[in-house]
Amino acid sequence: MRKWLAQAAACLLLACGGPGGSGRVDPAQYDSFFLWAGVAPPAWLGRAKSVYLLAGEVRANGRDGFVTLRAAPEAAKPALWLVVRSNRLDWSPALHAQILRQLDRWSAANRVEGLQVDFDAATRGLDQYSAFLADLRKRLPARYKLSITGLMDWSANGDPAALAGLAGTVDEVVVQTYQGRTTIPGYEAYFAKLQRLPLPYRVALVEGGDWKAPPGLESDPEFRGYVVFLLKPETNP
Amino acid sequence: MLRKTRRMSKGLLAGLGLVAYAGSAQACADGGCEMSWSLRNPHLSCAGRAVLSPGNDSRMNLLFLMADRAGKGPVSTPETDLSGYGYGKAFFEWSVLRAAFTPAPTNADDQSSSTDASRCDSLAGGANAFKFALAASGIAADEQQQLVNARGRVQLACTSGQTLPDWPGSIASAKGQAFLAYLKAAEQFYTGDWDGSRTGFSALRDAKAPWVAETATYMLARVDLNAAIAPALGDYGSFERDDVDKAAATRAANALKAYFTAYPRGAYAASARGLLRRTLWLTGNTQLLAREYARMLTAAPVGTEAAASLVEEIDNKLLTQVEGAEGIEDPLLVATLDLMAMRNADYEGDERDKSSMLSAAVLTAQQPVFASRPDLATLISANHAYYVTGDMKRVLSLVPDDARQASYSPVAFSRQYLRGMALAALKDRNEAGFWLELIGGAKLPWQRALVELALAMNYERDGKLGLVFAKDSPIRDETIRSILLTESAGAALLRQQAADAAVDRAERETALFTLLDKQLHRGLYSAFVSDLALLASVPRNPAGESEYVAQPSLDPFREPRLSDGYPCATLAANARALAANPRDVKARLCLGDFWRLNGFDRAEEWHTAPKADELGGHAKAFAEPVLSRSQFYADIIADPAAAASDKAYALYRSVMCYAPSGINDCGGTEVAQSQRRAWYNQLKRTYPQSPWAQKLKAYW
Repeated sequence: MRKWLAQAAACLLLACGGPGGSGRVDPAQYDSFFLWAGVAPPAWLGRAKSVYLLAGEVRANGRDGFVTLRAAPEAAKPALWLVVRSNRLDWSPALHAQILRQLDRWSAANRVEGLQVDFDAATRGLDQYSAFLADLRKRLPARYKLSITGLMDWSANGDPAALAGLAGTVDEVVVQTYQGRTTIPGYEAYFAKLQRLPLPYRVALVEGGDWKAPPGLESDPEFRGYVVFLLKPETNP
Repeated sequence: MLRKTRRMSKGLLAGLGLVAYAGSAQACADGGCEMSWSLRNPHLSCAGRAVLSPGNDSRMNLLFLMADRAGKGPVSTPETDLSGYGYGKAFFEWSVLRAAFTPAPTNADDQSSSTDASRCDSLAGGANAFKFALAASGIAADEQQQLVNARGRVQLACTSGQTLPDWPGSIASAKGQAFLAYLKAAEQFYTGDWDGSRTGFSALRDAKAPWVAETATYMLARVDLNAAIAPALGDYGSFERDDVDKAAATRAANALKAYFTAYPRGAYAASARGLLRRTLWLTGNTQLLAREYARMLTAAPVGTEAAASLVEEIDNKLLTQVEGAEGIEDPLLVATLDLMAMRNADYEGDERDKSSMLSAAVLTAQQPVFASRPDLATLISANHAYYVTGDMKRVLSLVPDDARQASYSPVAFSRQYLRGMALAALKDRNEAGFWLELIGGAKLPWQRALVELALAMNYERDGKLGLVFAKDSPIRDETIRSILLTESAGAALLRQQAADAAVDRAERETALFTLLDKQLHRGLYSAFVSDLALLASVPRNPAGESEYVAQPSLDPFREPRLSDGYPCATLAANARALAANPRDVKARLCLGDFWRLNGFDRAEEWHTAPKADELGGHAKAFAEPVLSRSQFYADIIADPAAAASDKAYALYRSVMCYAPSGINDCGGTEVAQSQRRAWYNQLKRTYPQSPWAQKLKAYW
C-alpha cells in the first residue's frame, strides 16, 4: 500500500504524463502496436519498437482452416510478432507446418520476435489451452517466442494450476483492455488482481480509448509495457 | 462483414463475483458483438438473426437468399451459442451460420489452406505436373532428369536467398531447351522480375513442347497480375487497392482472354477464370464483377464449402467495396446491398441520418432488377418502410398476412416477421394472435426463438407475463425466459417458478436467486426470510452442467461467507433481525458483509437495464429503492445511538469501499477523495484503540 501512495505522489509531481498516464490513448506516446487486417499501417509505424501483425485466422469450421489475411511483410525496423487468430485448438500437423512456414518466410525479410496466438473463445478449458500451447511450444523452433492474448479474466479467474502451466510455456501474455473501440469500464478492479498472473505480461490498449494506469501496474515486475491496438484513421473516437 | 471485436467476457463478471447478473447483461458496446433482444435489427452487429434485415452481416443475408432460392436449409446441425456470449437460440454469429451451411468437418480434412498468399505456393504444387509434362514430351531421360533438378533451383530461388546452382549446360534437344527456357522465365517470375519473365514467356507461346506453350501463355497473365499487385503491397503486407498498377491488371485480363481463345478447354481454365475475376476487382470493374458473381451464385451448390467461400469473397470484394447497387443486375446482390444501405449506423457504429440511407427513388428505379422476384421486391420495400420511413401501415399493405403456413423459406419468414413487427409497432390487438400462428411454421433453425421473443415482448408489454410461464406456453427458449425472470417478473411469479417442481431446474434457480437478491437489496426482509425456505426445494446444480450458460447460482444463499472479522449471525437470523428493525446497526453491517463476501459488489454497475424496446424493458415489479452498503455505513456513522465499535467498523468499511483502485465497490453514490480522507481521519482520531483503526493504513 505504501508503494501505491508513493506512486500516487509521484504521479502528482509528474502530472502523470506519457504512456499509461491518463486520458486518451495517443499512439505517439507508445512504441508497440497491434495491426489488424484492414487497418492501413500509419506512416510512422516504421519507428515502432515492435508490431503485432495479424497474419491470418484459423476458423472454427474444418476445411481451409487457415486463412491468410496479409502478404509477407518487409518491415525494416520494428520487431514483428506473427499473430494468428484461432477459434479452435485442434490444429492439424499440416496447419502447424503452414504456420511455421509463414514464420520462416517472414523471418527472411524481417526481425521476427515470435508467434502470438489470439484464441478467441469464451474462457473455458484453460487447461486444454495450456496443453495446446505446450504442444505448440514444442513444435516452435527456439528462435521464436510464443505470446498469447488474454482476456481480462484469466488472472482473476483462471485455474491456478493451468496458469502455472502457461508460465513455463508462453513467453508473455498480452492482456486486452478494450471491447470494440473503447476501454472496458472497470478495468481498474481487474488490474488490482493482476498480480496473480505468474508470467510476463503486456497490456493492450485501444487507440483513442480511455486509459489511466492503475496504481502499481507499471511497477509490477512482470509488467512489460503496452501494446496499442490501432484503428482505421476515420474510426478514432 | 464486421471486424469482430472483443467482448466483455462472462468470465470477468464471474471473477468479480457478478455471474449472477451476467445472464441479463446486455450492454450494447458500439461496434461490438452484443445482441439486442428486440424485434428491430437496424444496425450491424455480430449477432445475426433468421430474418433478412439491415443489421445482419451481409454474408448472412446473402447466404439466406442463396438458400432461399435453392430451397435448401442447413446441412449440419447448427451449434447453439458455442461462443458462450448469450446468443441463445435466436441469434448466431457468421461462423455458426457458415458451419450450418457447410458439411461437418471430418478428421481427414486438412486444415491448411492451399495457399500462403505467396506465389511460391503454386510452385510446390506444380512439381508433378512438370514431371508428367516432361515424361510425355519424348525428351531423353538424362535431359529429363537435368530439367527436374533444374526446377529445384527455381524452388530455392523462390523461398530463400541462398546461392543458386548453375543451370544445366548440356540440354541439346529443342524441346529440352524450351523446358529450360520456361524454367528460367519461371524463376524470374518467382523472384519478381516481371519484365524478364514477360519476355521469357512471350518467346515460348509457340514452343514446340505443347505443355510449355500453354503454360507460358497462362503464365503471361500471372506475370502481369503480380506486377499489378506488387506496388499495392505495403511494408506490413497490407494491400492498398488504390496503388494497384491498373495498366498491368488490364494487360493481365487481356492475356487471360488470349489464353481462353488459344486453349478453350485448357488445363488452367478454372484457375484462369478466377484470375480474370481478380482482374475485374483490381481494375474496379464492378459491373462485370457483379455479373460474374451472379453467375457463380446460381452455379454454386448451397450447402457446400464452395458456396460459403463464394459468399465471403463476394462480401469482401464487392458488397463492402461499392457505395450502392447501381449497375448491378442480380436481385440477390441488389437485395443484400439494399439492406446494408438501410442500416442506421455505419460500420463503426456512428449514426447515419436518413438522407444517407437508401432512398425511395433508388428503390423504385431498381424494380426491373426484381421483376422475377416480386416476393423479394416487396420484402425490400417493406424493410424500407419499416427502417427508413417508419411507415408501418405500408409494411402491412406490402406484406399480406400469410402466417398459417407449415414452414417458411428465409424470404417468406422474413416477410411475415416484418409484418408482425409492424403489427407490434402499431400495437395492433391481433399481434399476439399473429405470432401464435406464425410460430407453427417457424421450423428452420433460429426462426422459432425469434417468434418466441416477439410473443414474449408482447405479453410483457401487455402485463401478461403469467402467460409466458403458463404450463402450455409456447415460449420455451431458456434465455428469453431467464431475461424475463431477472428483469421483469414480480415476487409472486418468481416464487411460483422457484417452487414448481415441474419447472426446469436452472430456471428455478434463476427465479429464486432473483427473488432473494431483489428482496435483500430492497429491504423486503420478512418476505426474504419466508422465501429463504424455498432453498431446500430447489435441487443443486449437478456437477458438469455447461459452464457456458451464464446463470445465477444460489450458492451464496446456501453457504454464504458470513464474516471475515466482524462477528455476524446466520443470514436468516440476520434477516429476521432486520425484519424486526430495518435500522438494526449490527444486522446492517452484517448484510453489507454478506454482499461483500459473496460477490454482490458492483453488481448494478455491470448490469444494464434493458431499454424500453427490448425484452425485459417493461419491468414494473420491485419499485422500492435499491439499498447499498455505502448508504448503510454512512447512516451508521451519522447515527448517535450506534455503538463506538460499530461506528469504527462502518468507518473502516467506508474507506475500504475504495480500496485499492479508488473505485467505489459498495454501490450508492461515489464520494470525493476528501470524504474518504475525512473518514480515515475520523476513524484514527475518534477510535484510535479500535482494531479497525489499527488495521487501516491508508485511504484511496
